[in-house]
Amino acid sequence: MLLQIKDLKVNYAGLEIVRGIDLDVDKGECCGLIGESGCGKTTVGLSITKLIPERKGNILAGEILFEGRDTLKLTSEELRGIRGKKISYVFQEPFSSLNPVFTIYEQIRESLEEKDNPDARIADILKNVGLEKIIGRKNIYPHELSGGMQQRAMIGMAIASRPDLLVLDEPTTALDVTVQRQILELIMELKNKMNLAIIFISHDLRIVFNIADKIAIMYAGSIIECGPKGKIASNPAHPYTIGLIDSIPSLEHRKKLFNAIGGKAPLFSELPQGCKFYPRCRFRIDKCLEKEPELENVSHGHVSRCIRIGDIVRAENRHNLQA
Amino acid sequence: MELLKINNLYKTFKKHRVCAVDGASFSIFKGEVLGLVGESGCGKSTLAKLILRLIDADKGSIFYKGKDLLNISRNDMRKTRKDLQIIFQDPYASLDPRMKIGKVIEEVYDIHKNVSERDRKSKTIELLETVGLGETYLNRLPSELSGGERQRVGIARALATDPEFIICDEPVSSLDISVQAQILNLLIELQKRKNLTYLFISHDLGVIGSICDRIMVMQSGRFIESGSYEDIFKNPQCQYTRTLLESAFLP
Repeated sequence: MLLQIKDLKVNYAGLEIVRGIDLDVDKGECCGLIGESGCGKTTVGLSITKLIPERKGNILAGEILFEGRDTLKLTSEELRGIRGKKISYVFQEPFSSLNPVFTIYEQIRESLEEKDNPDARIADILKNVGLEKIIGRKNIYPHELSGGMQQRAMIGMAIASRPDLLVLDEPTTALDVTVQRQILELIMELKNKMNLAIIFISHDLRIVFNIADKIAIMYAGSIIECGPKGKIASNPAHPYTIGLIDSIPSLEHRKKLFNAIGGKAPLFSELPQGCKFYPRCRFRIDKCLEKEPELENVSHGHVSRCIRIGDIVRAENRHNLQA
Repeated sequence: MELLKINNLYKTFKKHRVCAVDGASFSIFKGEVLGLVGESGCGKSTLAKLILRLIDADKGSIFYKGKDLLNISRNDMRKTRKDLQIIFQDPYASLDPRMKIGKVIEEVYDIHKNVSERDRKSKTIELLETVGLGETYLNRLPSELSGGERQRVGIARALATDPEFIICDEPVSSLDISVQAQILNLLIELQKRKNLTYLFISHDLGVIGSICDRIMVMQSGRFIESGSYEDIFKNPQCQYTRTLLESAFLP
C-alpha cells in the first residue's frame, strides 16, 4: 500500500473538522474523495504532507504512512524531500496557483527532479500534458494561457518530479465542460502511463464516477461510505450517498423534482448527537440518535456508517423505504 | 403566446474587438423553460443583459408583448423591468455584503413602488418563506448565509416584482451538487406554480436537459443549433453540440 491514512484527526480554528479518517490508496489507483464544501476533504489532502498552516490548524492524532513512513513524524527537512516531489498537488484555480511573474518554463523547471538538460525534459513534460504549442517558447507567462492550458501547466509541474502520489483538489471545477473532459482524460492517461496513485477531491459525483476506482464519501469530518466505484454507483449503502446520487441531474427524471437532500450540513461547532446526518436523513429512526455509528461492512471492500445498512441494501426500491 | 421576440441582435465590444452576440433571433413563449447552453465567453450572459437592457445592443430589436424595448423611454423601460427579472450566477457577488437580507428585498419595493408601506414587511416575510427561508433571515447579513441560502435570496429578490419572465443566469453553477438539486427544485416548483417563463442559462447540459423544454446552443456569439429537448439530446446536428453532450457525463 502506497498511502495509508489511519485515524486522522485535525483541529482547525479550535474545532475538530477531520474526525478520524481512514483511507488507503494503492499504486496506480485513483481514489475519489467526495463531500460538500466545508466537510473537511481539502484538509485531509493537505494533511498528507502537513501543509496545514500552523497558525490555523494542527493535526491532533493519527498516522499517515507513505511508503511505510509516517509523514506526520518527519522533520520539515525530510518533508521537503517528499512534498512536491513524491507527493504533488494540483488545486482548483490554476490562475491563482501559478506565479504570475515567472514564465511557464521557469515554473516547471523549478519542480524538475534532475536539473541537467532541463529544456529537453520540460519539452517532454509539455508534450505529455498536451501543451506542444508552447514547447521552445520560453517567454510565455501564465496570463497568456487559457484556463484549461493553465491547468495543464499545473499538472505538468505536478508530474515534473515523477511523483508517486498526486493529490488533485477540484482540478476541473473552474473549467468549462469540454475542457474539463479533456483534463480528466489527460489525468487518466498520465495515471496509466506513470502508474500514479491519485486522490481526487471533488464535490461532483458525476466526475468521480468517471475517473475513480474507489470512492470515499465524507460528511461532517468523517467518511460515511467507502468502496469500489461500481458498488457505490449501483448499490449505495448510506442515505447521504443515495441523496447525492439522486441530486445528479438525470434525463430520466426530466421535469420532475429531484429527490434532494433537505436542510444543510451542520456547523462543526454545532454537530448533532448520534449520527451526524440524522437531521437531514430520509431513513432516520430514533435509534440513530443514541451514538455515532461505526463504519460497517456492506460487502467486501465496501463500508458504510449507518445502522440501517441492512434495510437500505435489502429495500428493492429505496425511495419507498420508510422510517 | 409569444412573450419575447428577439430579432437580429448584435453586440460588439470594441475595446476587445469581440462580437459577443452576433445576430441573435429567437422567440420565448409564455410558460416555457428555454435553455441556453454554451461555454464561457460564448456570449450567453451578454445576451441576457441585452434582453434586460442592462447593456445596450448595437442593433436589432427586442419585443416584449409587442412593445419594442429598444425604442421606449427610460421611464417605460423601468416600468417594464418589473416583468423581466434576473437571477445571477454568483450569489456572493450579487448581494451587497453590508445590506441585511430584509433590506435586499425591500430595496426592490423602493425602486418599483409596487407594494404599499403597510404591506412591506409581511410581503418580505412571505417571499422569504416562498424560497424556503423565513422571518429569521430578515436581519441577517449575506456573510452569515451559505451559498445555497444566498441564491435563495437572489431568487426572492427576482420574485419581489411578481415578474412574468426570469432570466436564470447559471443560477446553480457555483453550488455543491446537493444544494444544486434543492435550488433546481425550488425553481421548477415556482415556475409551475406561478406559470413563469424562464430563459435558463447554463454550461451544464445535464441541468439544461433535466428542466428545459427547448434548447439553444451558442458558440462564439452565434446560435449554432436550437430545437426541442428531443432534437438536441436525441438527434444533435452540429459537431459542437455532440462534443458538449459527450463532455457532460450524462449518467
